[in-house]
Amino acid sequence: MDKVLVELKNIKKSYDDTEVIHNLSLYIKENEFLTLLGPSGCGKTTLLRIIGGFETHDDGQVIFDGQDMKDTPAYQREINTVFQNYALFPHLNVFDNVAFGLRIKKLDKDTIDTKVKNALRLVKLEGYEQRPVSKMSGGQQQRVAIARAIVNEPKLLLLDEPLGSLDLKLRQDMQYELKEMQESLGISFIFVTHDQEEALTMSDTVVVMKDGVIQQIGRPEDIYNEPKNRFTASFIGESNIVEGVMKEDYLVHFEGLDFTCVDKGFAKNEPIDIVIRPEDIVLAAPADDRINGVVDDIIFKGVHYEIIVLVNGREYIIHSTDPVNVGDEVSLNFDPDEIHVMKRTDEASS
Amino acid sequence: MIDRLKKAPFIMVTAFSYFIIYFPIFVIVLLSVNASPSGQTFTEFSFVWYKEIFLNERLLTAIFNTLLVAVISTAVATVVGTLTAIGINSLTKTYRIRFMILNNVPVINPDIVTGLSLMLVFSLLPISFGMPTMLLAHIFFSIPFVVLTVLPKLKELDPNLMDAALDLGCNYFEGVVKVIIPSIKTAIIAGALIAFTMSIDDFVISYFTTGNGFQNVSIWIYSRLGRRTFSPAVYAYNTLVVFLTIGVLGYINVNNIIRVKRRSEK
Amino acid sequence: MKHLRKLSYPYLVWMVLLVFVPTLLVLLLSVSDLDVFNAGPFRLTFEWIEFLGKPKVTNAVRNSIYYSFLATFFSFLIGYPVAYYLASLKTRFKTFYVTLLIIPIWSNMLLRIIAWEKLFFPISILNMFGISFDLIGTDYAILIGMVSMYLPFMVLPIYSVLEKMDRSLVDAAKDLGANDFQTFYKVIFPLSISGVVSGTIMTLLPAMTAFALPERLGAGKIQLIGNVIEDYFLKTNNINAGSLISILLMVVIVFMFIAILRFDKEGETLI
Repeated sequence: MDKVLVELKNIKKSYDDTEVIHNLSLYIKENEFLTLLGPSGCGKTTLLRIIGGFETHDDGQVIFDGQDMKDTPAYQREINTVFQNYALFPHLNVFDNVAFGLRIKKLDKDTIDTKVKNALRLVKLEGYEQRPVSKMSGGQQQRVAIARAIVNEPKLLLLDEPLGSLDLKLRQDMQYELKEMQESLGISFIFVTHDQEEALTMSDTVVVMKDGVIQQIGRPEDIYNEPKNRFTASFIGESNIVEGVMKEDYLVHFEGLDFTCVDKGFAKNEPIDIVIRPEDIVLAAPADDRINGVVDDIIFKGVHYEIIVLVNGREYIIHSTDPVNVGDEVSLNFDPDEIHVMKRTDEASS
Repeated sequence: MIDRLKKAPFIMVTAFSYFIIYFPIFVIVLLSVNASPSGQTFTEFSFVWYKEIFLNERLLTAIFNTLLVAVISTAVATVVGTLTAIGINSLTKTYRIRFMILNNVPVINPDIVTGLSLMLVFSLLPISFGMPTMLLAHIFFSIPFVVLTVLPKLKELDPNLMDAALDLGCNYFEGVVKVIIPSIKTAIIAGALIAFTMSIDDFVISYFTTGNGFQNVSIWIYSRLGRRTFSPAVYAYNTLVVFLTIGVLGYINVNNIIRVKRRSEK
Repeated sequence: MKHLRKLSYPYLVWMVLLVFVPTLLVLLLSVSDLDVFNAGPFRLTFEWIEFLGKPKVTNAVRNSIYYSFLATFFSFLIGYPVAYYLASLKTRFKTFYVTLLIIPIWSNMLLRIIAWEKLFFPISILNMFGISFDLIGTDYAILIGMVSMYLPFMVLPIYSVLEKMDRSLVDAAKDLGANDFQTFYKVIFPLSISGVVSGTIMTLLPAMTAFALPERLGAGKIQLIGNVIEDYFLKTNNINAGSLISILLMVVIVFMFIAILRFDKEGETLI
């Protein structure tokens, strides 16, 4: 798990005059499930296509298994891809689609048969060999696409939003299956998605991207609990983001009150952003040394209620299993370690 | 769309248009089995003109020339048109639109303008007018139709299809031959069929670009209009072509209907 | 995909050679005494302009406009309902009916013109059915002939647009309170306009430039601009004057191109 498989060094890429990837560096270890997460247009798919060899980067290096991939075309890389919308060959049936790469490599018929059978077993599509791909459901097509890629035994599998067109239930099932598959195959996966839940569920490492720049790299727990900036905080899960001032180490000031916190290392009176997750706030009766507000709305969400509290014209989102009434006056309560302080970024509040 | 409107007027207009389109063809069939050489009146039912096709040497040569030019120009236009369409499909939208404007020039241009344009260009080239110039002209006006037929099908394909082929180890040539072309096979056949039709049926462009006595059927007809050398055998030839076409298209159609039916029964 | 772009380059060169070179040649020929078949030194001259004033040419221009506009108008009047009816059919023979419209194209157009010509004489093969026409050389003969030849070119583009149209738009219009007629002129017709433009042009241009048809059905009395061009280019060998006259046509064609481009950028309604 420790050997580096892919290393990206100072990658730059522009289309026409817009730079879509800014000087990006990143490495992927062997047997790692890494997710590139970000909104559409953040450069994640472009980055994936650069690794796959479908796009050429303008500057920087892609090092795969110790070798610079600069002059290696897509068809010579030991990397396979599961494309968005799958790109199954419409004129071939399931078997021929999966066997395609093996036939290009001119393996003998028996080996191809065995390998295709194994791959189809792995994606649970035995018995569908002769089906035309157009007659398969979205979920089945996706499995064919995965089988077609992994049958070539790549060292690295690239997945470009492969779950995007599946319905919710199927998507959740596939998340577990993909993770299981990655562990049993023992290869690295790079997974591109804009769905933060998908990223948090499956990955060993999440890379949050925006405008061609990496915002944060970390384990899913770290990304969720310790977002480095306002963008990551708001993109991953729902959150309350408030501007404040770091008076000194372990003392933060916002909403007109001082709070002790667990953060340190900021300049004295440095303006900062504070994030508090909705599930970390507990509502109680109003009190003088607390942030007080009025319940503006309450929505039943199944597992919990989503409660909107108005404080000085600002909305706070609170997740609670206990209902309240609209119009109730309440106070917001949270522990010092639930106040997460982030460096102020100059972007407008999003 | 039409359920609540009265259907009758629509059926009448449609019947009338089929009538006005098919009436001359009906007359040609009638003339082909009419023994009278002038075709002014119906004298006697006879298949004599069908036999005459094989006896009239000039007509036979014209038929042969028509088929020769059609087969070669269709083959060239289908290959070039398909590859060009694949190239156009991978251009950015702006360039694709500009390219298609150029591609559509021969489609929209009236035949006479295409004909005189090609005649002028060919006059500058060191080739003599006749079969080579007519063949070049037919290739010229056929390719755009192949491109127009193949391109929409290419646009329907998954944009990652070529990348998927490369991903699985194909080089660019293999990707085109093993993945792209098989995926658009039906459109290529349709394009070839259109190219063949345009070539067989062409008169005006052939007329402007031929020379040295090289005649296809249309030129054969035009040069004999109102003359004694005009032989009603050409009606017989045309009747055979039409029935052959109906047969082929009917076969494709019936096949399609059977396939659709079988699929829906499954 | 970018690597595949190269596949389109040879054709680009070929098209530029065969589209732009002749256009420039026509322009040059119309203002010079260049002889293309024995190219040599030439001088610029505007002497061909006098041909534009000849009654033969002015008549041909007038006739071309008159007959092509009328033929296109009637083709549209008949063709739109036909396309609309065919598109609305739900039977599995639908493609068969549409194919029927294409089959006549396989029959030689000159022969179809000859067939009409023979029918328009008082003594014709139709006498055996007790029918006799005397239309040869009249407007009717030319218009009937043109509609018969070019009607499929009007119907097919309109049909293909109507066929692809999302049926739920019609339901939506009705849902919002439009009656059948309002649905048609507020939703269906505007959405089919690209087909109408293509169909109109594909009918108008061939009709305007026809030369075998007016020659036969007009009994040699009615000349269109196509006859004049044929005459100058292939019979009297006055290619320079012919070029000047074909510039008139090219101007019309440029306007047609602009019209098509506004509605159908990639020519999807052309076949």
